[in-house]
Amino acid sequence: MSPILPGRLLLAMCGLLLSMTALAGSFSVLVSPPRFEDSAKPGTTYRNVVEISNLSGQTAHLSLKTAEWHLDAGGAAVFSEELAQGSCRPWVGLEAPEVTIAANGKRRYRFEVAVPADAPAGECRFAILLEGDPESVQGGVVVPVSGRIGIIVYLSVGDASARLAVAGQQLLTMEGNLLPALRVRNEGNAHGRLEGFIDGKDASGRRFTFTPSSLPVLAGETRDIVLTPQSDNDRAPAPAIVYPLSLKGRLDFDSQHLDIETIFAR
Amino acid sequence: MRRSTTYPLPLAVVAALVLNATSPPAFAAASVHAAPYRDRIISREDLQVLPPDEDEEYDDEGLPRSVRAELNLSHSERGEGTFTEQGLSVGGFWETPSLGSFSLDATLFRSNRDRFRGDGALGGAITLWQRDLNLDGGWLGSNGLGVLNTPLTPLQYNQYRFFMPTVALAGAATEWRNEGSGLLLQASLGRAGIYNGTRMVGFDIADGDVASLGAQWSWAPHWKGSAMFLGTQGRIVPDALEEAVFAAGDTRAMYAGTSWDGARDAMQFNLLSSNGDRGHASGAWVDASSRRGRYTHNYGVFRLDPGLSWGALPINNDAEGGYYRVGYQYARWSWNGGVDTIRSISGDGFDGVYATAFGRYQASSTLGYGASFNTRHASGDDGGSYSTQWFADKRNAWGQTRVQLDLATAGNHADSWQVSVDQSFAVKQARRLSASLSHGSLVYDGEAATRSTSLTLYGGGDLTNTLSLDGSARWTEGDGPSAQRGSDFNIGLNWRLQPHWALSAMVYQSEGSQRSPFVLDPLVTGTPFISLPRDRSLFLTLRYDRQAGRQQGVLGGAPGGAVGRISGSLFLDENDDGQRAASEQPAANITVILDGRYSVRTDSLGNFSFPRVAAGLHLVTAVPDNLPLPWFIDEAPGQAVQVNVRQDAHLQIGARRRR
Repeated sequence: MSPILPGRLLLAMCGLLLSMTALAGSFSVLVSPPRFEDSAKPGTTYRNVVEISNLSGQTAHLSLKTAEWHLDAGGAAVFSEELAQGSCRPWVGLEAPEVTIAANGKRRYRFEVAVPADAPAGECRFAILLEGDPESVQGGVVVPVSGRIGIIVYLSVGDASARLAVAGQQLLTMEGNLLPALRVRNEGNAHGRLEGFIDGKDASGRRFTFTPSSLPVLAGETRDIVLTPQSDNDRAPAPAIVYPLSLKGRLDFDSQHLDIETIFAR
Repeated sequence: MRRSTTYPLPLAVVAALVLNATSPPAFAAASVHAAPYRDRIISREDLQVLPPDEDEEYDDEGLPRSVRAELNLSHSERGEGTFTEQGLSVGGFWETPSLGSFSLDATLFRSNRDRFRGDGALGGAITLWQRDLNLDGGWLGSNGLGVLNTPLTPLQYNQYRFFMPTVALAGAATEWRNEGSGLLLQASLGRAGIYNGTRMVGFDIADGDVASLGAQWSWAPHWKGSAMFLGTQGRIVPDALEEAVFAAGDTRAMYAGTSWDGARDAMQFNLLSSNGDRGHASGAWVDASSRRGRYTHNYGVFRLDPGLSWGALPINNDAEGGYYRVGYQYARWSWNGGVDTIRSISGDGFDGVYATAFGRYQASSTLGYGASFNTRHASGDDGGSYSTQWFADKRNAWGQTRVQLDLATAGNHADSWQVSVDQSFAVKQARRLSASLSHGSLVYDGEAATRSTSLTLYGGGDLTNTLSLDGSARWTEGDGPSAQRGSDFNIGLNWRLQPHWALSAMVYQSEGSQRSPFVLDPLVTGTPFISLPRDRSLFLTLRYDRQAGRQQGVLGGAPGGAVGRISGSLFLDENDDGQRAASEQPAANITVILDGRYSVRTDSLGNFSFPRVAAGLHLVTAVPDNLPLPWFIDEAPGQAVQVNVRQDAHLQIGARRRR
């Protein structure tokens, strides 16, 4: 399986990261990889490494800590430093609470997740936040500024799996196009992403094939998954749909599937 | 359930931490009021030990440069002969402030093989390239010296139905491109010859010259023109062992073509005229394409006189006719069909009809299936020839599985059939493992059927931090006139002795191969050079490599670049599925270019690597100069690859052939 980071999450993070480049100018850090999706067995310790590169010509002093995260309705990541109930962050160990990286230097930063032997099947989900020292903006006005970035970790423990079900449907306007969306509920204990094809026929008799958004549905949450009609080719504009629209097909996630047969009307 | 650590391509480009005038709104403010949580810090003695980081001692002064040197020893048994080769291979690249980039590949080896004795038992080759020299007026120049291939203009390269091979030479080549006007000038001059060597690439200079002179230009909006002269002395033919050798035969050929590219339609007119020891011959062909929504149409007509030549390798000739192909691509469906009518001008060649059809349906995100059908009917042939293939691709927890059935009937001969299962296993990143099992009854060239069963494994990966294994092994059991029994293998073990030093050992054995009875296309030229004789070799290599240069100078790098690695393999994609099945052969000695500047060659396993590449998007182009005909590489402009920091971006580039 080759999971893909949701587009809106990507956009949100890029927006976050790049929004103040011109203002700051002198200070930037590169982190790789920005996301981990892996698994661990109870009673074992999962270990991995993040590489942090300081792209600026000045020494970077960074603090690192864990955080909770979830996705908002638009698919953007929302972080919280407060320890949530049932959080797996107490299993997490970090190499150091802060690091200093020389100008144009890099550093490998280690973290681990010690999964207890009696850990139930589920998904350990957390983020590692990097935060720069507050600085002052040049130009006479002294305003404390700082930057943050979150590295997202999904760690599947035991036989965790998603259990997705359709809880409703609606039409949503996306970039000016009215598109069908399935309200998908995850009753399992791991996140899931839908993939596959849905065949559709609109009121004008045109047939389309729809593919679902790759946004993850986190365990316990309900999310709108937009179905996008495929264009005839990469140069063709997005097809216009005349409602009502009949949809029929099967969407896959992990080794399970959802059968879809429904009609969308305005 | 096991999930691999996969990094989304766009995000891995740069996750840059920047200053922000306020706390980013995506961060919740809950922590302001809650008791702060304190993370557990791993004690120093419990921290995992990291493998040595060669970057730590990286010399980032000056412009980027690299050097590579290899000491090679090989012992081979080929056919009835036994011989050894010992030699040195060196290479590298370096950037200059104003002269572009330089790449060097050189080999020198001593061999006691018969074909080298006349040359004092020495063999070798040297190639020096200077690429992307910027001059005033928007000119960009590239110049090569040493063992090269004659250049082709893009119009010659982008052929739909016919392929124009290049010619190897020892001499010089130059190419000048003006980005503003679209003018491209190419020329080459040198001595003819042929590649030789086993583990090391050598070049055997023959008694003859090669010269080419060509250009491509835009002569009106949407119109391009191209012309190329190629003169060669000598022709490459297979010997008794089906190895390529040079024979007498002169050719002087002139190509001229023009193309028109519209928004949805394109057309290309081609003229070829040759004169030489086979007499004067001319050829003309027109290729056109139209894109209409989900459909693509390709059609054309051709007339190629008997004896038509282009360089030292055989090309299509003695044929006239036309073809039409239609392809459909949308979501789940991909299908195409086509028909060729071909008439032999002399009456000695193929006269008849060739038709092909292919369909694939993606039933779900994990299951696709389809079939292809090919038929060839020659005039006066009662039965005609048919081949068909049925396949299903299934993605499962183990990886990707293909089940395939091939059937063929050739005239009045017995039927050929083969059942095969290819499994590409889901393994950790930087590892690969696939297996192929096939059983069938094959009829070669009208002889009695040969029953054959084979099992092939292909894979590789790191065994430890310093030891890696890569290779393929095939076991074959057969019964019949063309039966092969025994095992083929091509296995390499690489041991990283210390930073910059590596020792590798490779064992290689091939029982040979034959033309597949399932290929019916009458316009497919002969493939003598992949039908190798029995061969058994042992290679030992001691390698030193070092790179230096300031960070922004990593290969293809932007300022402040972090680095990753690109590695990959080139292979002959027999089943045309884009995946390297264990049974598919590697393509060795193929030039692979990164971002149009830095080149390496594939080794005998078809592998290549660029060890230190800037994180970001790059273009990898395989130059099919030494690819056996009629194989070609589909990604003409190159394949985009995303490199993530400290990650190995692995490419599998499959050479295709038309069925």
